[in-house]
Amino acid sequence: MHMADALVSPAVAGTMYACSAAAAAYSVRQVRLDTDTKKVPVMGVMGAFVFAAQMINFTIPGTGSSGHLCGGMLLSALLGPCGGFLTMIGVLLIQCLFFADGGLLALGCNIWNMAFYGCFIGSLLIWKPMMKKGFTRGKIIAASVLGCVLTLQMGAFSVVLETTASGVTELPAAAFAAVMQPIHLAIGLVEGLITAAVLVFVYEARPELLSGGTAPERKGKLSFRGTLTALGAAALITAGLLSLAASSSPDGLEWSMEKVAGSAELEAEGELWQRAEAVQEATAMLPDYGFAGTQSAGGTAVSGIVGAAAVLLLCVGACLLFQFFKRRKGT
Amino acid sequence: MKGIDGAVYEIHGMAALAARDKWINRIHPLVKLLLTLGYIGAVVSFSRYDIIGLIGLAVYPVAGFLLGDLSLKEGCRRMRFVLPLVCLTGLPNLFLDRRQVLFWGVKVGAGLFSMLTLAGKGVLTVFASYILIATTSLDKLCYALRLLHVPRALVTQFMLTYRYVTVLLEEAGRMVQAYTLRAPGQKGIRFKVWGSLTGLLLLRGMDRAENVYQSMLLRGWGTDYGYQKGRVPLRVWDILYFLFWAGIIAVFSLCPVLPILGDLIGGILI
Amino acid sequence: MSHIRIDVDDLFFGYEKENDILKGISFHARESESVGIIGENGAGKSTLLKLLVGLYGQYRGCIRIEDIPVEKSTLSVIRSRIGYVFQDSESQLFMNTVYEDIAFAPRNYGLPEQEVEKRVERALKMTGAERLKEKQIYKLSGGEKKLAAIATVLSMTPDILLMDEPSGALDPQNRRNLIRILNSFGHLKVIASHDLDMVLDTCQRAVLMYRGRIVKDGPAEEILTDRELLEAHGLELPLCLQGRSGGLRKT
Repeated sequence: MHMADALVSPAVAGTMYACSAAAAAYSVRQVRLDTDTKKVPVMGVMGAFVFAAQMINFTIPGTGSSGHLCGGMLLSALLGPCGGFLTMIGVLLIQCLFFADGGLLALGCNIWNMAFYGCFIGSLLIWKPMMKKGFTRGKIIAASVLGCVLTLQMGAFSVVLETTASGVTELPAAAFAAVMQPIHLAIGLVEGLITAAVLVFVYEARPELLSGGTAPERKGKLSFRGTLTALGAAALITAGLLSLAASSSPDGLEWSMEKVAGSAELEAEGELWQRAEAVQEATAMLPDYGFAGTQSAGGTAVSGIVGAAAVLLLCVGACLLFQFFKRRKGT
Repeated sequence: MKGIDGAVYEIHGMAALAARDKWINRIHPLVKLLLTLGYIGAVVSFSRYDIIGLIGLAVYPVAGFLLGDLSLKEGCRRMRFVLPLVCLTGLPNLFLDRRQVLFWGVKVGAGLFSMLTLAGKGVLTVFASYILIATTSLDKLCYALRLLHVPRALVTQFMLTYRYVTVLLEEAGRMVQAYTLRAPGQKGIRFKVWGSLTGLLLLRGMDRAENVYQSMLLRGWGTDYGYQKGRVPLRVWDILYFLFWAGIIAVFSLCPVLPILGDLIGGILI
Repeated sequence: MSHIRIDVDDLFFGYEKENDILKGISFHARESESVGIIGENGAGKSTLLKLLVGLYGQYRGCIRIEDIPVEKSTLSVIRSRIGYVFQDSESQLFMNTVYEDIAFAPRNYGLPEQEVEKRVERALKMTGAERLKEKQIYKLSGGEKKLAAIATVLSMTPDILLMDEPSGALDPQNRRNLIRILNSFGHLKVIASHDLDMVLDTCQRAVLMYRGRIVKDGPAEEILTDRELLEAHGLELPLCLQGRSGGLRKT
């Protein structure tokens, strides 16, 4: 579910960065990281634990395939929504930097899709209400499975919205969702069961580690107002993305297509396309750059490729020269 | 277990790369972080059919790989998560975007262009992040995050996660190894052991966190002190480097440099 | 008469009620003494050390370090004077490089960066670990980790050094090196260990603990050669005194 940089547009990435940063700022305040000094090492090491535990393959009974642990739900059950959320950010950042699993620009999206839903929704909507009257084995299992399924569904749907809003795929959002949701339903079920197994073990061995039950709640508890604000923000963002997705018009070929192919003969011409082209021509940042004698089919393409080759050659040459002189200076 | 060992190996490998004393490694971390984000932003801003324009932006990773003395093979290995996903997302374009364009007199589906452009974007963005992390140690990157006003506690938490990822990975690896030695022929962990194996790892993690916390307390953690400022001074070189690449990225993403250049070369040759 | 550094009187402590781990410990140590706390696993050695630096709150009795009682408000003063080396170096070294880790404490106590650097250099020199300065923690061997861990507390220039099982998992050469470092530390040191050879090599005084109580406190030479006393409390003679044939061998 980790989104790559190539799948998001800067606008979508920026929006999601802002949302995630807001949630993070809120969490930092809530868990009082600055004064409650114990939180920092516990969250740090738990992040490392989730990362390690996610690498373990669990055999799914009756099939040959394997499942993995669901980090967000587990962390929020242990550290509460805010602590879990901040911990997940660390995990996602390491996955992105060291394993290229998810992009740097798409990090905001990934934090939202995986950490926000997993920790906030999973904890506030499911874990806490269900555990209010104390833990039982059955409730822990039900909450884990329900939480993982729900938060993964929301995450998957956000991926669909963000990708569609970024306008990188021709696939209609409905079709995309029709592929994503069922797959993540299955994944959510398995992840939920694994998470349940771990939480039940913790419950039996060291119940005081679980958060949100009858045991006196530590800091990081969300007020009712806080819950409402968070849910409201989530709803607003989802709505915003939906409208963005809806308004990403069937724009047809973009203006640069013409440049790639020279005087492109578009077969799928139509009134809509021409109007779109007119709009794009008007709003395009760059003026048209036709050059005399290059308007033949593929003309610009050819010069483009020649140019590219020249630039790359120049770049390689410059770098090698630079290194050569650096090395000589160094010796 | 190969996956876990592989992950440990990969993290160590990256740290070793970043610890080398290359010229590009010494560039200020904030400069590299901002450039990388800006570059990725520029790449994904390209219109979805403009594959040739995208080629121009390849100068940044090419220079990065050469100056950083990085292995292209390693860089490509890092595509393993991103590229399949990107291609799967781009693949429908091939069938759904039915319009055709003349390309050198041949009719080509427009979807092909958008799919290739998407894949190209995937490659360039992954390369750019790779250059960042392979030439910048995590300490320095965290320092850059501090300069961007990310809270100190959060940065420390992140550094601790990084520090203990390998420790806990190795611990998980040993547990899985011990499991497989006594359960021959099993590919993963059996259902019955799901909770206890992972749960024990979790409890050990919690105990370790307690120890780490104690040893941090004993060394004055939580007392007020200023973050060590100026650990990596900003040099003139860093600013020049930043301006140079910012200029190049801007020019390549705002002007059709390549066709103009191609025409010029064509004009000279003919 | 030299200055009393550690003063413990009638100390009781337990994690759970009705189940005390320490049952009435009284123990004093002076400047430049070296004390080995010995006892079988679970005798309460580590718990006692951790109480001295205030890592556990709710104790009964009295603990004073350099005449300052150990309580919440005095912790930062006390901790700046005591260096505590953990049994598991992995949890003591939590930064990414050796330098950063050794510099952690001086920086936390607000020293200027030049002074921090001086402290780091000195700590590295005292442990003979100069070559490790820029190394990443994960690249260190077990012995190197122990050296680095000791350096991290020496950078605070402590008056008291507490060590929990310092020789665990060290090879003979690293162990010898550790003994050399410990013997070169001139202030008070308290070493909790069941490696009796190590205690014999580094301490003049030994305190034998058994199930939460101090059974015997006296010169190390005397306690560590008392076979009956040791065997009655779950320990054995130091290896160097056992000899293969069972006879005594002079060190």
